[in-house]
Amino acid sequence: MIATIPSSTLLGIDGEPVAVEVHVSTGLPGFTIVGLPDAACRESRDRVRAAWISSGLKWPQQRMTVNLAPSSVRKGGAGVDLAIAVGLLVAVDELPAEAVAGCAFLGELGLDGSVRRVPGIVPLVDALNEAVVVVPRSCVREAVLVARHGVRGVDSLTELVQALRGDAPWPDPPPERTTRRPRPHPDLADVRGHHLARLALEVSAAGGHHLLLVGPPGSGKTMLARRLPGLLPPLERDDAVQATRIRSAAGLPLPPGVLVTEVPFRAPHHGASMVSMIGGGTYGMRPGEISLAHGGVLMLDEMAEFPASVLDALRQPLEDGAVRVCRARGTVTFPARFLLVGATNPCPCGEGGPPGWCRCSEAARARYSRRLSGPLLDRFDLRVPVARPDVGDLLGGPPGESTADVAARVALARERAHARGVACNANLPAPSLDELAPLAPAATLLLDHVLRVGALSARGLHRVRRVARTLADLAGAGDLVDEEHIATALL
Amino acid sequence: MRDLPSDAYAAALASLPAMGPRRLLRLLRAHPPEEAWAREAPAADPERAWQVCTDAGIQVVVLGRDGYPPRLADDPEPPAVLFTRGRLDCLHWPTAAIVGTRRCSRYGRDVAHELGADLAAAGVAVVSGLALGIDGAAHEGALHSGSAPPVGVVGSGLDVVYPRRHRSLWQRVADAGVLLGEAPPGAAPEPWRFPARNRIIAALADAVVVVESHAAGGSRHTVDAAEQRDRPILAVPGPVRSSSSAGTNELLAQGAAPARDAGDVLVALSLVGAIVRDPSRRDLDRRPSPTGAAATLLDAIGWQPATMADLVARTGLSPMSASLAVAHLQRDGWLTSRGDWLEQVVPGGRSAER
Repeated sequence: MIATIPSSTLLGIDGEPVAVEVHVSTGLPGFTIVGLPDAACRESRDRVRAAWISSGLKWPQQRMTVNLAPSSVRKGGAGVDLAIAVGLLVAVDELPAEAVAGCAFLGELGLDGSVRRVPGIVPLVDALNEAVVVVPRSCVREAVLVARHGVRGVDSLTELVQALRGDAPWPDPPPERTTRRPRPHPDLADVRGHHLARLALEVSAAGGHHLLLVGPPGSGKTMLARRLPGLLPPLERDDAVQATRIRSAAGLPLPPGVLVTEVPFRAPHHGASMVSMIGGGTYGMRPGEISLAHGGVLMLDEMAEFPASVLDALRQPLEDGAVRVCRARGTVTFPARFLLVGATNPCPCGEGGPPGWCRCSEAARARYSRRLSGPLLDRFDLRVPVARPDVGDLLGGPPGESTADVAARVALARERAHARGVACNANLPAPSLDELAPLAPAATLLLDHVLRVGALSARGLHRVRRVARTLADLAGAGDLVDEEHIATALL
Repeated sequence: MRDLPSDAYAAALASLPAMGPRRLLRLLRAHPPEEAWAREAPAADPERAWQVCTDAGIQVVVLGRDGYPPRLADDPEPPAVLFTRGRLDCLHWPTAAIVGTRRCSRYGRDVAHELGADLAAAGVAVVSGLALGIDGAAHEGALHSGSAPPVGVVGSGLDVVYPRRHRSLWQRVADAGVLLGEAPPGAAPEPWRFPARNRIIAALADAVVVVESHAAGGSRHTVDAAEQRDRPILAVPGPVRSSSSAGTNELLAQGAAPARDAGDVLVALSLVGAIVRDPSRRDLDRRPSPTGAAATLLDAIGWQPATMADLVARTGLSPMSASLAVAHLQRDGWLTSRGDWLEQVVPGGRSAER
């Protein structure tokens, strides 16, 4: 007897449909799986057998062969366990073939016959075109997100067999989890002093400008960066679905409402390896930190301590908004459009201070600053010195503007950018700057002067004009970019 | 063995491992070079060391022989063998040493540059150590005005450029004046060589000017050596809160003469009258006076470097109006920036751009 059951496997953040073919015939009793399974997938054999016996079924003494088609795609993980078990049930006539017609199955089997959740349910379900998808019961809410299928959830193989035979109804989907309010991003109102850095955060959020914070330890760089996601607009539907797929594929827990709407904030430690940042890995292609930050903020604290190779690998994704990870077994494209916030000390001792002040030698300072390559530094539109705040500001200074107020201005500025046909001003194409960011006469004079004395390069000029555009948008200054916007952008 | 000049034996002796300046001096005071060589290294061939010197264009001058600078000959601790590149007769000019820290502020760099330029223009040869920071700025200044020749005293071998960033400066000093040192060719810039080098600077200078030094800086060696030799010591006053002026302010407190400009140094050298102060530089300021926010900002920065964040906090101006004021002040020449730091420009002062 032969049976074919649809299922899918994960490749990066995309699902790939897999047909599970089960062939049962007379011969020496045995059970083999072919069709390029990886180690976890090959071990299905033992899990399926144990689950089968634990569920009170009789293990057939026949020759059983499972083929995972297409055989050119490498199948990873334990997600096809359930499909293999169902295929066997049909092939040995425990289930009628009509009962499973138009159904796809996803799930890992436990030795006791339970059905366990697998990572990446969202893309896995999305890859299937069958009318009904059976998933682990705890994954039902994620599976429903795709909204093209009838979704059934089961907790055990026994439950599944009974439901398919029509002996029992399908189990109810799990109750919606009581929505714990997501921990809100820390508020900007808590920040005392730091007037310049506050403005930089606002500009960065409004224009999508990458931000580099430079200051001694304890000056509040991390604290400031953590307040940036709160200023960004919530994810739009497309971005939210992407973010959900990425989180799902990475096996990270999804928020109570399943759809990731909160702006992601990722702050990997500087020990991060290339693969953990970019994506890839030995077992399947997992998305890296830059993809987990898609649509949100990637913060690199102590940026100079990151391996140079890792930092330089960020350059291409920063440019393209996506990263292609190529391996011998396949190529995967992960979305990776994020706002980069770097934080670094001004020198090895961290104290910085005016020239001639700190105890680092000239050579040590030069070595330290060389750790961040020029091309990478060029990606930062904003570079802001952060000083330790004044004692007076810390104790009883007036509270600053709240996140909500600033976010409202940011949203308006982003709308203006949308009207120009870009997501944010950082993406304004250089050739159309004259048209989209026209300069007031005084602004032209100022730029003319800075260019003449050689304080600004041609590449820097575009950067300054984009940032000035954002400043003008935030101020609601109309179409012309004024002198003060250019002056501020020059910092 | 080929017939070698006596200087070749002296150079070879200096190049022997474990031969320090004191031991070499004792040896050469007691014996002529050939004899000393026979005692120290009878089996070795002195020709190689000599060949290195002639190949690199390095002259060798031995204490007590023709051409040895009289200033050093009378010194309590003279270098027994001196390696030189350039013209040794530069040492006939009146000399002033300009020394200071490698970790200097912009203020120190500018003052060193200005002193170097003005002293050289007034006919005083500038002696310095060619280190980063103050030393380099002083020689750059001296080369800039180019009247009196520069004298560079180095701690490593003359063919071992240290710091490497000053390769071009070494060459220009050797071309325009003289480069000298007691370390044999190939000698690495070992730490002990620098205090020894500093004593030669003090011995060659008619006066020593310390432009900027930290509380426990290497300039102290030069000052101590100059004190032993009764050379006048001058220090450039600096802000009392600047760590790079802590050493110089301490010297002033101990009685060193203040060096405000080249005129003060010339007085110390008893060359007063040789320079006429140029009134156009100090007294006529043609920059447009700042008003409004720019004036507030200029008041707030004072004479200490500050970052934009500091200035916004101090003045209470909005970041945008402060930026506009800074841009205008920079355009009009009131402020200058170095990295994240802004500084007020000295009226009429020349700045030692790098």
